[in-house]
Amino acid sequence: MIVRAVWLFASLLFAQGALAQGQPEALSLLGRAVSASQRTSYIGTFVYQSGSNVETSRVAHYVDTEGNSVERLEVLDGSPREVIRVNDEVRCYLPKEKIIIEDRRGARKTFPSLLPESVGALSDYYTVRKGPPGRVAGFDTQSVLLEPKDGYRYGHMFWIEAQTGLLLKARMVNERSEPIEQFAFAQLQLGPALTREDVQSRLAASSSGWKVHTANSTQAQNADLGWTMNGDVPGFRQIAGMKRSLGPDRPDMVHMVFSDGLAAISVFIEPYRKEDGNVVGPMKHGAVNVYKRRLAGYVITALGEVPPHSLQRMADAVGQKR
Amino acid sequence: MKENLSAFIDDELDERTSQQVLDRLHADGDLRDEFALQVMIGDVLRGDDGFDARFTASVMSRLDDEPTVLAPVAFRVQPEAKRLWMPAAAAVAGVALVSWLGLDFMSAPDVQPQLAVAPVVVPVQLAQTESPLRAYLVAHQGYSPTGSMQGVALYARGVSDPQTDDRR
Repeated sequence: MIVRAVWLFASLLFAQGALAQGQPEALSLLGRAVSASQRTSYIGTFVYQSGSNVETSRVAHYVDTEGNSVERLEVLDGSPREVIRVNDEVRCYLPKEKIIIEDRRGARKTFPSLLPESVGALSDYYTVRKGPPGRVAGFDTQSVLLEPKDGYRYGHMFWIEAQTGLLLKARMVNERSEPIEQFAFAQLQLGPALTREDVQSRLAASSSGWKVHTANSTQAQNADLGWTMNGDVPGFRQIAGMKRSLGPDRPDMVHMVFSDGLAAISVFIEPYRKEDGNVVGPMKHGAVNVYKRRLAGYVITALGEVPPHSLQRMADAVGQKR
Repeated sequence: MKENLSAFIDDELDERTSQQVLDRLHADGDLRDEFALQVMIGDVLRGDDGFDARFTASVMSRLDDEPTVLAPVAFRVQPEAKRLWMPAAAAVAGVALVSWLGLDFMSAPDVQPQLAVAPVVVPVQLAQTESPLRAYLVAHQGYSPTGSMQGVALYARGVSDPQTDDRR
C-alpha cells in the first residue's frame, strides 16, 4: 500500500511537472513577439477572417534609423481602405465613405500593455502552453495556446516565427473552440530593404475635403473622469482612462480601458444626442462585440474582443460619481 | 518478498505469511533496510516527523542501485505486481480527469448566474457607415494588448467591411 502511495505521489509530481512544462517557454515566446513587432521590418500580405468575411491586406513595417516605427496597411479587397501608423498616431482612410479616422495621443506613453514583464500575469486567467510547431507563409513557427479559465474571455492561438519571433498568425476562438477571427500572413518578406516611400499613404493626396473623425485624447491618464465602476468583469483591470475630444462643437467623451493582459474592453461615455438614435443592447462589428446602454443623459458603449455578456456586465457597472 | 513486505507493513497478511516475513527479516539484513526505508516513506507521506537527510540519501542510493533496463525483457507479469501498478495508473488518470472537471465546475458558478440573468442576446450586425463606432474601434485598438504583437494588422478589424463578400 505504501509503495503504491509512493508511486502515485511520484506519478502525480511528474504529471504536474509535465503540465507546467512549456508555460514559461510559451510566455517568453509571447514576450519575443512583442519586441519583434516593434523592431522587425517586413512587407507582406495577410488574410483577415471574421465570421464568413475574408479580406486580404498588404502590410509593411519600416523602422527608421532613429527608431521611429511606421506601418502601412492597405486592404486589397473591396474599397482600398488604408491605415497608416506612425509611432502612436493612427490615420485610417476610408475612400468609399470619404472619411478619415484619426487617433492621436496627447502624451506619448508606452502602450499597449502586453509588455514582456506583464506577460506572466496572463496565466491567472488563461492556461498558457506551447502548441505544436507549424508552418505559416513558408516560415517555421512555434505556436502558443491560451485557453480561458472562465467564460468571460475568448481563447487565443498564436503562431510565432522561430527566428525573428514575429507573430505570423493569430486566431481567436469561442468556448466551443470555433474560430471567431483569424489574422494570417499568406506571403511575407522579413527584414527587406524598405524606405519611407514604402509606408507612405497613397490616399492622403486625394483626401482633401474628406470628413475627419478625431477622438484625440486630451487628458493625462487616470485623472478624475467623473465616473465610477460599481462592479467588474473578473480579471479585467483598468489600464487607461482619458477624455477624448470629438471636435470643437461637442463635449468631451470619456474613454476607459480594462484588460486581463490580453483582451481589452473599452468603455465610452458620451452625452446623448438625438441623432445617436435609440439603438441600445448588444451589437457587433465583425469579431468585436458592442453593448450600448443609456444612463441619465449619457450613452455608454462597451466594446471589445470578448463575449457579449462580459461587455454587458462592464457597461452595467458604470455609474456617475456623486 | 518485497511485495509481501509492504503488505506486512499494512497488516494485510495472514498470520502464517506474516511469520514468514518476520523470519526473513531476522535473517536478511538487506530486507531489514528495505523494511526501514518503507516505514520511513510511510511516515513522510503521513507527515510524521523524525526523518533526516539520510532519508533522501538512502532513497537516492536505492535509485542508483536500480538496474537500467537497456533492452526490453520478456517477463511474466505476476498478479501481485499487476495489482500494484494498475491502481496507481488508474488513480493518476482519475485525478487528471477530476482536475479537468474541477476546472469546469469551478468556473461554472462564475459564468452560469451571469448567463441566467442576462437576457438572450442576439448580437446584430452594425451598419458599416456608423462612423462613430469605427472611431471607437480605432481608439480601442490603440489600447488592445494584442496590438503590441500584431501591430497595424489589428486595424484590419476597424476598417473591415463585412459586406465586401456579399457584393461580389
